[in-house]
Amino acid sequence: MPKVLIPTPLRPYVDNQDEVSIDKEGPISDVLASLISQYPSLQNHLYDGEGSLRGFINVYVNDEDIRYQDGEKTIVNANQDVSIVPSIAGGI
Amino acid sequence: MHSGLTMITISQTLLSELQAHGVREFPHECCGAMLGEQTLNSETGDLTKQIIELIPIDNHWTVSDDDGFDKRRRFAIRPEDYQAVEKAAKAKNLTLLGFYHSHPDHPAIPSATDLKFAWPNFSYIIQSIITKVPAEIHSYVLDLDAGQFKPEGLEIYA
Repeated sequence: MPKVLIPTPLRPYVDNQDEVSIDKEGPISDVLASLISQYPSLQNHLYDGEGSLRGFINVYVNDEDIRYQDGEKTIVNANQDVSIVPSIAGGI
Repeated sequence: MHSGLTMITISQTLLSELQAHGVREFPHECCGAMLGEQTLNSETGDLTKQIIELIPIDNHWTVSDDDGFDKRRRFAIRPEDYQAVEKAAKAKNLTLLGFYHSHPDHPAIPSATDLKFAWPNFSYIIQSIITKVPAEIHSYVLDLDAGQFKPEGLEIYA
């Protein structure tokens, strides 16, 4: 089963786990949908109101940014790790 | 997610490290991660976070990133650096409490840019550096319901 690695700020929404195993392989969009079906309060933190992945979230499949693969169609196989990585930035 | 009061504590030694980082990078913004421990008071619901280690991180903001401003007014942490501090926290059995950054020649007040990139459940410490001298310092957390930052207590101990 693929594992989704949860960043610290989102752990309170997944019972404080740092990773969640997903009983689903296939496109990353399906894997994230399965994760959200288990933990619905993640929805608003991962997707905007129009159903697109939020811009300040980076998603990696086995350390490769999905933006440089097939985006949300990037295939996730069993034993692969999916990392959700927040963008951290700011300024004056 | 957490509804009680929050407070973050930092030793004078670590505060000096943080301020020295801000002075070193001046007039650019400095940034770094804060690792530590959290204690929830089950009676009051108040959360206390103790900073145990700071990890300075290179500011990787580039002018083309967004709005024409440079590192004097912006900071950015690379995803690989973010992943490294998560791994460091796990290896040390600590929690990634949040991030600090400096505001060179500007008060320690969160900006619209800070808010745009803010994450829930993190502490954001802002250190003002005025003409290369550390000035006020404050910590903030994102108030999801209000869609803005709220100050949290910052206690400095010897």
